[in-house]
Amino acid sequence: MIEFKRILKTYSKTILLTILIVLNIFTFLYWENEQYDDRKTYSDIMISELSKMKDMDKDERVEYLENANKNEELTLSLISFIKSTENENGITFYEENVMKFYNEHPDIVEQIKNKTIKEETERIKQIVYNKLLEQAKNIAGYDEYLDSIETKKQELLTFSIFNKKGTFNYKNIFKTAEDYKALKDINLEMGNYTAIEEFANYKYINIFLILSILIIVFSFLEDKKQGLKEIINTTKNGRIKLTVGRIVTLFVFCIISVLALYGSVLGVSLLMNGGVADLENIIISVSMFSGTTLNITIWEYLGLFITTKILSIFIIGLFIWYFFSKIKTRNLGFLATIIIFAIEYLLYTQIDFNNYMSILKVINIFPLIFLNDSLKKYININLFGNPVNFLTMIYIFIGICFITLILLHIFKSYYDKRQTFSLIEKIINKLRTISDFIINRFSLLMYEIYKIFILQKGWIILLVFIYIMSNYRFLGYNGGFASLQEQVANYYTKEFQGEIDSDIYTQIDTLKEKFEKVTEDFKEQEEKYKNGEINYYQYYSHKVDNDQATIHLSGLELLENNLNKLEERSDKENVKLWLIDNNPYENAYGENAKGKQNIALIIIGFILCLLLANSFSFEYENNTRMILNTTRNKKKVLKSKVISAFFIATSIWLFVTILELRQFLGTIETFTLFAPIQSLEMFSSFPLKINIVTYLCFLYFGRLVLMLLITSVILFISSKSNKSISAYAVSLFAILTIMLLICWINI
Amino acid sequence: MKLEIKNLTKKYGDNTALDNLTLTFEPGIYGILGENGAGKSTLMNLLTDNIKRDSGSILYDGKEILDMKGKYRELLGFMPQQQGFYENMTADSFLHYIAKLKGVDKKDIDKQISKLLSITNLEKVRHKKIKSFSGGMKQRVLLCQALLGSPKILILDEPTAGLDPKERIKIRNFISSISRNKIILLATHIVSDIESISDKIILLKKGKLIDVNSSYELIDDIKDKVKEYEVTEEELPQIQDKYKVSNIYTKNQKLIVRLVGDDLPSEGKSVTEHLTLEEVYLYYLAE
Repeated sequence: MIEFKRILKTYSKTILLTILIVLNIFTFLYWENEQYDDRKTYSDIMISELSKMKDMDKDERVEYLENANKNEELTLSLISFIKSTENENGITFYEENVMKFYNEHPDIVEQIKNKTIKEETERIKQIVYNKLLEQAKNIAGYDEYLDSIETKKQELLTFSIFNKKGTFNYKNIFKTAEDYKALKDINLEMGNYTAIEEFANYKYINIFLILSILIIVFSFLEDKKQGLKEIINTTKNGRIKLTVGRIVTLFVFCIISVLALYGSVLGVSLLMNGGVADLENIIISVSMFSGTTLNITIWEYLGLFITTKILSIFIIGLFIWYFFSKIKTRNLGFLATIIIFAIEYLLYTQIDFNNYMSILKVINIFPLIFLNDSLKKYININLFGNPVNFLTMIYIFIGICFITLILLHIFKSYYDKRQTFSLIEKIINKLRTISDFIINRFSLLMYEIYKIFILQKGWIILLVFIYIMSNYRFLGYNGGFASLQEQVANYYTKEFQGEIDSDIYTQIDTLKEKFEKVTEDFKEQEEKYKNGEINYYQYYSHKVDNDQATIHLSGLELLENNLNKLEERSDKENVKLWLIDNNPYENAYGENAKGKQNIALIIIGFILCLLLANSFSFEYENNTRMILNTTRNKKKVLKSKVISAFFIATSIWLFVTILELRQFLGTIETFTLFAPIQSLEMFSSFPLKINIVTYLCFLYFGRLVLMLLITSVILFISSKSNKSISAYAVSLFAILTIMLLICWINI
Repeated sequence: MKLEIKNLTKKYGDNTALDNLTLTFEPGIYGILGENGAGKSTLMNLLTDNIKRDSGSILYDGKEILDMKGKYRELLGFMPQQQGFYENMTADSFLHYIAKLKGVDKKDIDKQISKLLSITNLEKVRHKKIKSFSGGMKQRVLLCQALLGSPKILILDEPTAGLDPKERIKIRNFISSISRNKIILLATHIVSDIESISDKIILLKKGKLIDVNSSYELIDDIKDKVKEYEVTEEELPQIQDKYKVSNIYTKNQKLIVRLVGDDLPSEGKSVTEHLTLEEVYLYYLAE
């Protein structure tokens, strides 16, 4: 109770735990698939379709959904077709079945034209039908699936490697068949299972869960850090009783963390997607769980999952706590933990279930972390020649760990001898001698960088930043072409990119002649078909060529219009403009890219704050300010801090610029960079007569200046703060405000 | 070489930490004695230009230290009362860093550091992180950094705090051995540390200078201010409340108290021999 209160009363921990819960919910919402934004429409359609199928049998549902899905595909094709006809130069080239649908459903055509039917809604409908169809097929085919297992059993027993009595393979075949036989008459139901699927697929929650347990575990280790251990050890209740109290506290916090984190995610998912009533259905009804043999409702599954998760995370917490309490330094403890987790992960992912070492896949923390994956599998592990269900093995593993770790903790609390690991210490000492040799040769500037990245652990922030930006897509997306004509025009724009001269026009004319000949030829063939001189297939082949030629002609026409507009502007502005494919430039530097740029800006601002906000307050907190102030090179220290901060900001700018340019340059012909900037539609009114590459130089230089200004603000705030937390808080607030203002102006 | 303080004043709000202090320091060891809040650390921080003064001047060889700037700091070695390190650095790398900040010649850095670590018994742990050191070991690292660069003015605030008697004696002797041609200011509560090595002792009370003299002179001044009395156990609490008691002991089964002060009862026996600096402290500085 005392430990529980002590941890809760440390407000920073309570705040941290709350932040983790909030972050978890946001990550869940952000992570969620982006197939559709309108969840309400999705769940309304889902509920409506499910109620329509309520009285249908399994096969009727499959048929209904297949038809609905097909019709939906046609409706979507029809929408695209009608959109293209609304374009000035629209092309009416679509497949015959779409034309047939168009002719047979004038009511749908009318609804599309007067916007009663919306594309986004129809797209969502298609997603719903696909999902429900998958469900319906699983349910309809389930009995067959069960029968096939029995059939497979008989087949396998005809092979010699499977029919030797007493072997694992032999026993496994019988066990598998028996386990699935028990599911023969279960009642599977269709339902709105989106919430449970999202809940089961969401894996990032494990990070938040482990972080929350780490907060609790490290609070147990605080007395070791602060030198209180000796005092506590000499008190009456400072050993076994305290350890038992802490074990109970950890267990209680595991319950709270699991319920808070998983409960909030499940609650949010059910709120967004609905489907609470369907939680009474058997878990096997959910497609992703169709392979399991758990004959329980979804509610019962959730209960089983939560209970197992609490025990799992409790085991992990006990393990980490024991490990860190035995290892002298925290850094070594982290390193060792990472290595163990990495080995466990390799064993979990690389060993096959059929391998004789598959037991190592089970005696592993990762089945506990990826618990949903473990619960939805049906696999039997070879335990000394006997097939034991994977799930059963996990519970045995939990039980053994539970007892072992608790006993270890109690034993350790009674007699605590700190491990010296003298060989490791010798190695560490040697490494430190080498690192001192290197560090002692640093200049004052390098010391400041060393303080930021090593002493203040900035390397972690740097690695996270590199990971995020390396996977970041800087380029926007223009949403595709409104019509085929535009698509074709763009194709030829890319072909003829460059300075506008008579050559381009000559090539266009040549192409036009070629395609006009095809259309003329088609007219003749059409006549012949009408007269019965050629059959349908011959006619159709010419028709296809004609349709292609028509698109190309309209594309070329559009290209000519664009060229004329460019020439007009050239004359007006007295600049020889080029023909350029605008899309890559729009995607990198135009409207399409604004969202991406704004997010990148915020990330960079955030990272700069985390790296630099503590530059000065670090000296206050370490009480080194006074010593530094009395040295001859006091001013050099100040200069070094500023220069190192600018150096870091410049490096970040350079890194991001290289990544962005790498993505961008892969989408253009580099010679187009030397075109006048006004050649791009989005810069048609640009006042200076410069080329694109010059503009980009100014742009990137401007970004560098902005980064250095941000850095200056951060350093200024840091110099006025004597506590790290206030330096971080004020810097983050100030910089994020500036970033958001810039983003808002940008928008 | 002369360091002069003239009419130095420092206030923190309504509280006057140093009140019109005037002192002159020449090469030698000066012990600064005073209670908590007497102004010792404030004096140290003003001499090292870590805080701004309200009025007065500090002159080194006639030049104002604020005008000398870097040149003055070249002469300084400072050991603050609060332990300040980068705890994740090793002792060796921390001292190298400070040496560079002090502008110590590259050729001399390793030699100076090795010598200082050897004197302070830290040679074997030089490549261990400071955060793994005991309080006393950290104190010794602080002392090493103050001594780097052979400073002419050494300002040590509680230099022997946390050290065992053997280490304290060693440090004391070391300070004594390097005091030639240096001005060394030692602020401490531990009277015995300065009694034997200080040339002069400065007594500070509530920001004011009480006296500056050698320990011999200071003890001589209170010769007629110390008396011993035979008392009963019942009388003892009353006496402790009313007078400053420097010692209580039992002799021939009788309880003897030694009192220090001006208005002592007449019937006591005057003590003129074996007086200590602690009695000087009690007389001048204790409430």
